[in-house]
Amino acid sequence: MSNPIPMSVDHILDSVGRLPSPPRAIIEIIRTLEDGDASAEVLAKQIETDMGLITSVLRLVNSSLYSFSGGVPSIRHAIVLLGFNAIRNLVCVNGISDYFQKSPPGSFNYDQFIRHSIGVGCVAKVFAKHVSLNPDTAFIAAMLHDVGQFALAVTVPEDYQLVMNYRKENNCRISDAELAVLGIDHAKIGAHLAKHWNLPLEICNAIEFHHQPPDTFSNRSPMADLIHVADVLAHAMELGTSEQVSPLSDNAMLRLRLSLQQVATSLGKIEEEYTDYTQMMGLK
Amino acid sequence: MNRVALIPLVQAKPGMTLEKDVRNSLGQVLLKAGMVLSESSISSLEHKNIGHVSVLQDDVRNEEELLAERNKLIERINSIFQNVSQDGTMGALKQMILDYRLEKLSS
Repeated sequence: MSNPIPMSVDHILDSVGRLPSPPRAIIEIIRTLEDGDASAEVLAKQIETDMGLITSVLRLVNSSLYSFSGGVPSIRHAIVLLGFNAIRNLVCVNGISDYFQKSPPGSFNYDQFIRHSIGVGCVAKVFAKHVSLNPDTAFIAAMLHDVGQFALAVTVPEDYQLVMNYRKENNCRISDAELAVLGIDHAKIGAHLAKHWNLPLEICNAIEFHHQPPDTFSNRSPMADLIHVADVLAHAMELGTSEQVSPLSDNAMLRLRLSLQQVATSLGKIEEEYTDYTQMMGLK
Repeated sequence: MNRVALIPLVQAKPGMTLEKDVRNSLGQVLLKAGMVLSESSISSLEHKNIGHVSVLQDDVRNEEELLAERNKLIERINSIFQNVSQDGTMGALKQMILDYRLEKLSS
């Protein structure tokens, strides 16, 4: 084959590391998701540091609210009227999808990518409470679990095209194609970025281990277990994409105290969540 | 016979009955399930950037079409599960998804 030789792993990590991070305010909000003392006041301040965020939150809130005459003039009003959790979730989910959408056009399929991420988020949200994980954090971890794929497609597009070609020729999963062509997969790349952006450790772990959650006691991560199961199920249920499924870790299922029977009875609920979210986000 | 279908808003027509509540980006209900769509309610949804709605439709599929849809679904699920073990957990998961979706298809 006369394919060009892809860059070394170090070179790829270097290129990927230059990807602009999501807006500072979004990163700050994600970092404080688990803070018990997070308040409306703090959230308002975080949103108000970013002019773009203020505009987009007020636009969203005002376009969907017709019952408040005169409109919603400020972030603080929006939080009071709609609630802290609703606004925080809206800001994060929209902020992350905006970030992905602003990517240069090319081989990267934004629509499929975001649908799959939301699909994983919906499964994770449904099972998060089951294992006492914060459903909002789980949804954000899911939104970001494939950020490495996005980073590769955007920062080293030619190499990523080789990965895509390899996958097509060998009819394999994307991570196997990445390992074969680049020597590193999107899970590792994504975790590298998440750490670089100072995201919470449990989100970094979920990104890094979403294909294979660690079994050793010292490395265990409930969030990685959850996002792994959610990723497999979202693929199996064709939420967003019809890509090949990865093997489900029996150990992760055991640690989550989740049986296939429980999954079976939740399929309808998951699909409902997925429809609601894609509808809410205006995905055509 | 009626069946539930999730359709893009551009395909929604006056007279169709909503099967589910339509919600906006904040989770607020814009239109309630059971409501019959009109020209004005459809254009108000367009205004609010709603992408899809769930409606009840007459089931006009005949036996042949159903069978074709069924086969297509089975083919897709086989393809999704092609590179994993067909026994154990993955085998059970595949069967579970297949049962669920086939039942949904024929209901």
